[in-house]
Amino acid sequence: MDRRAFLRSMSLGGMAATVLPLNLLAAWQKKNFTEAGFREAMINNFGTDTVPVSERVTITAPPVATNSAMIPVEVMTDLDADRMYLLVEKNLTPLVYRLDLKPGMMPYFNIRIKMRESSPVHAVVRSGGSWHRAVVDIEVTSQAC
Amino acid sequence: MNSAVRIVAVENGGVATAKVIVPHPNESGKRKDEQGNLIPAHFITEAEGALNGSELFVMQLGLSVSKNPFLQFRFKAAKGDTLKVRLKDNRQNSFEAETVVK
Repeated sequence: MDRRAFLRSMSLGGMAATVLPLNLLAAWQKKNFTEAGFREAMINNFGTDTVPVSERVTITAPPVATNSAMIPVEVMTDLDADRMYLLVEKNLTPLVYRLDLKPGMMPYFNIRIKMRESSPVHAVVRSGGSWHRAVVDIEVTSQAC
Repeated sequence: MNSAVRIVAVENGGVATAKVIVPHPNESGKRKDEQGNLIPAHFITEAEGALNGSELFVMQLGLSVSKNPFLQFRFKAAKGDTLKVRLKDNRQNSFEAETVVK
């Protein structure tokens, strides 16, 4: 292989390396982690954009976040949950995580998140085949993402 | 990036609380550098946990998780049980950590 062909193959390899993982990612979570807005994210994940609010799902988070790049958000429920979701309504990709709970796992999860702007934050729990939601407003005083 | 995942799990009354910190840039792919170029996406996309070899949870994560992801969760356990956590990012790097429940 001469030098030119070698360099060409290198640059192609380099491109593939940066493009391929994103394509793989898109293949498996594009729908759930849609960038087409909150309503689309709800429909893609739950099949509906209206999930009833339940007082049995709790979100604990600071009402005002001074560091929008690191906001602790805790979700818990006393329902017998087999799946939990966290969504930030105004983030570019609303879905933060989807958690599938297996036997022994308690319906509790705490994570630190980034927020682009002040937004309602929703937790959705699946229990016995039905959906339950909690929502809190988090105000951010700086911008992340 | 190569530094180890930190993990700890403490049992109290039959329920253990685990804390996991993953040293990782967790870049969303939406931010620009000082020259205005997009910083490529590089973030954790999947996590799973197992207790004594039995699956505890499976998780998909998006790009809104903070840098150096922090995960805290609870599960039924006894002292001496082994908790193992595996993670994967969008560049197909994988990370794992194991701890004995205290």
